[in-house]
Amino acid sequence: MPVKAVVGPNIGMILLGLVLSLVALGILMLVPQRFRRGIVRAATLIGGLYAALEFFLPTQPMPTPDDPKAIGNFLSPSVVPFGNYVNAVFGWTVGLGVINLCQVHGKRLMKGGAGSFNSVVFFLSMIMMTVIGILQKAHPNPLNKNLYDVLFVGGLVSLDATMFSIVAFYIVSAAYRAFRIRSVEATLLLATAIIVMLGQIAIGQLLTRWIPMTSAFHSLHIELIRSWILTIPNSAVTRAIAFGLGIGGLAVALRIWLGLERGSYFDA
Amino acid sequence: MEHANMSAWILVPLMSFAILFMILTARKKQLFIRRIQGLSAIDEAIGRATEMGRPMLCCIGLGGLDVPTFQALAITSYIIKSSARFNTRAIVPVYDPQIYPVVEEAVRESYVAEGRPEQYNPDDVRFLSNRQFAFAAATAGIVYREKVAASFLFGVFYAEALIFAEVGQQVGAIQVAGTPSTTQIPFFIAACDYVIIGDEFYAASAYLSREPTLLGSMVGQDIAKGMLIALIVFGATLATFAPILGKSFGSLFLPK
Amino acid sequence: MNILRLLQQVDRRVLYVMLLLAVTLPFFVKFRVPVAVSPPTQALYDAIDSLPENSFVLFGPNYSAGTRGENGAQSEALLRHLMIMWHKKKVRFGMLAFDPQGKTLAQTIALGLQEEYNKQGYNIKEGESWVNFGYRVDQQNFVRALVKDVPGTLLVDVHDRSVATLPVMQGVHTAKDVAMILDVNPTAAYTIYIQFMQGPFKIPMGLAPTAVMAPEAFNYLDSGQIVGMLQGLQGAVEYEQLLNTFGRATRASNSLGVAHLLLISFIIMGNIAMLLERSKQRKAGGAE
Repeated sequence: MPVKAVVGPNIGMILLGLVLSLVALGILMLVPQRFRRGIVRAATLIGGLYAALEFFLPTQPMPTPDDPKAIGNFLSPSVVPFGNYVNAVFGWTVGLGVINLCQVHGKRLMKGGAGSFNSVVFFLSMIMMTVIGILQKAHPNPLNKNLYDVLFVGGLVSLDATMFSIVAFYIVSAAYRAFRIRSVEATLLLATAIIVMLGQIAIGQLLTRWIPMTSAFHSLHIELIRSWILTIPNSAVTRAIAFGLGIGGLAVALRIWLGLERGSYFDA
Repeated sequence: MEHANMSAWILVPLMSFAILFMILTARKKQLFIRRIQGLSAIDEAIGRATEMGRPMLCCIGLGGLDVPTFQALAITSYIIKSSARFNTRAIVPVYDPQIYPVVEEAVRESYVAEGRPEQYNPDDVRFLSNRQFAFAAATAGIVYREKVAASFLFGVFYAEALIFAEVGQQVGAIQVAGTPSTTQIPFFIAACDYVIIGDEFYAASAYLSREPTLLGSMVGQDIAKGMLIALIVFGATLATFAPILGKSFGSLFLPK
Repeated sequence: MNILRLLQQVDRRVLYVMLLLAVTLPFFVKFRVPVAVSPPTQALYDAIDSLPENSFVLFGPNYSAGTRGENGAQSEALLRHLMIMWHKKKVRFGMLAFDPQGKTLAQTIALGLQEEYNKQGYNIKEGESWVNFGYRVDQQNFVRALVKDVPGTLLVDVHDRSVATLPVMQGVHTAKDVAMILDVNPTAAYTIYIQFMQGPFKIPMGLAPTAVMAPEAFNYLDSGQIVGMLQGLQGAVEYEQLLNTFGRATRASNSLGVAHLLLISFIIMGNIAMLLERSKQRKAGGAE
């Protein structure tokens, strides 16, 4: 299938997807509650089977840098359209989220009292951003573009940056509170943290710059010790944790795929 | 890797077999599971919130419809079931709208499972924003306003992890965290009371429920890890001695 | 309150004010302390510098305003080098963002640098030397389609011009025509490029993560899946030093240094106070 057709707008496919989704949803709503889990499990099994087969079945021919289009097996061409379908579902769920937000804030506004001012701000921001966002796309005149810039760059972008900046302050208070040499492990942790911090700033590097790079002790340069810590012990540890997490993820995925998951909403 | 190579062909089925085999075995005999302090602290934190008469925060992170978020949701369901017995309120902020209906359903069913459907308050499962720092700001606001007594941070987290943990610390909440995001673990360790590390995150549902299927899966994970360790030791040994073992044989184990 | 106890329990608001001063005041002092260039930064510089004549680089500004302090400086340093490479070897680049703010933030940097270098006669033109493809959703799905047909998947650039007809895209049809991937990314999503583009097509890839995310990326550096890396703001400072330029990273490096020193001082102070108090208590206990 040509990629252009997959990525570009295709009204037929969109309508077909919409109709199929509505039919599936309708059937699921009509089915008695006790059978719904079975249907969901069957769908999970089929979906998982598709992903597993697409990954494991031999690719013919094998992809090479010279022939990049020769990727995959007979299931591979449907990966991208399937992904697009998932994106469409995501679009619908954003609507669900917005409805939930409106419900929570709407109730609070009706009740009045503490916190209702926040709800007013929420509704004002949402309406303004939506209206001006649509206007600047539909009528991209300087006024609409400037208004959009004020909201997007002046508002959202600045607030985003502010929130992230707060992390720096929290790092200082958390590190000051937590880095106490109460045990051998804590002392090691503290020493490592200080070496890594000093090794990455110019002022810290000045401390060991007097050691000639040609001497036998040149590896005592603080930036080289830092580099060793990050490359060797750090990599070993993060790899080990990643292996454990990977296998844990595989186990949970297998349980969900085969309907073996227990607890919470997975129980029959 | 877009498609399976030889290693994936061998290792994934082998590990999957070990996990499934142990799941079947666990249904027949009792399996041992070591104590995980961070998970044992969940009940302590719920108790504290109950005593203080203040709500709890159960944040499932920034993940979407993925395995870590499902695991976080399983832990959250356990917390809600436990707290429902004591009539303690749990607030669940949601980041990804895709997961929102699933979370809503899981929370509602947790109350129903404990025979307390009336305790379910739809407003306590809140979609806040799918912008990282807008979500962080809104969650921090909830922690401040509601003065939560316990904060459970299980799931995928990024830079906002420390915002949640530090704000929780400021209001004096007891905090238990666990994440598969390795880079955020140090921040949780610095600011939370209890942290579960690495694959303990995936052991959580087995540990909390003691359900044989999950316990078996966990032991299967350990066997799979054992296989991996053996393979690493084998490969590293051969690669180390490759020059002695001869050019043709040894070169198989040296990086290309 | 006992002074030793006070030093262990400094109010967090005092810490915040001190940090604010430590970050802002150095901006008013103009001095530059040379830094040692770390091996990952040097490796990335060398990889870009040795790009073949007339090659095409895919640049990913996958960050938002939140991490602009680090990722913005990294983007500026890398784009500087790419523009120098256009002048030297006609190396072109295309910017593709999977974060809605990334496209705007990178466009501003690229236009600023274009103006700066054109004053020096570099003759850089948007559409010919570089292009901004804008923002796309679902990185995984998009990259899987992109590797097979670059212009057919991208369709239009940020100004709604057909990508296929732009001079900058000449000879770029599939992933094999991309000489290098540069991802400026504060999350772990760079692994998508590794999985679906770098790995299958053996394309060299450079990474610019935030300092927090860098430790995790060392694994990929060690395995050769990433050729080089800029570790947070400091990586950008090192890169500007290699380029012999005084950009936004170097301007911020003094703040970074002083803030680090402040943090280290507070940690050491708290620990010394704790140890002194303990020894005092032990002595008092022994005297009783």
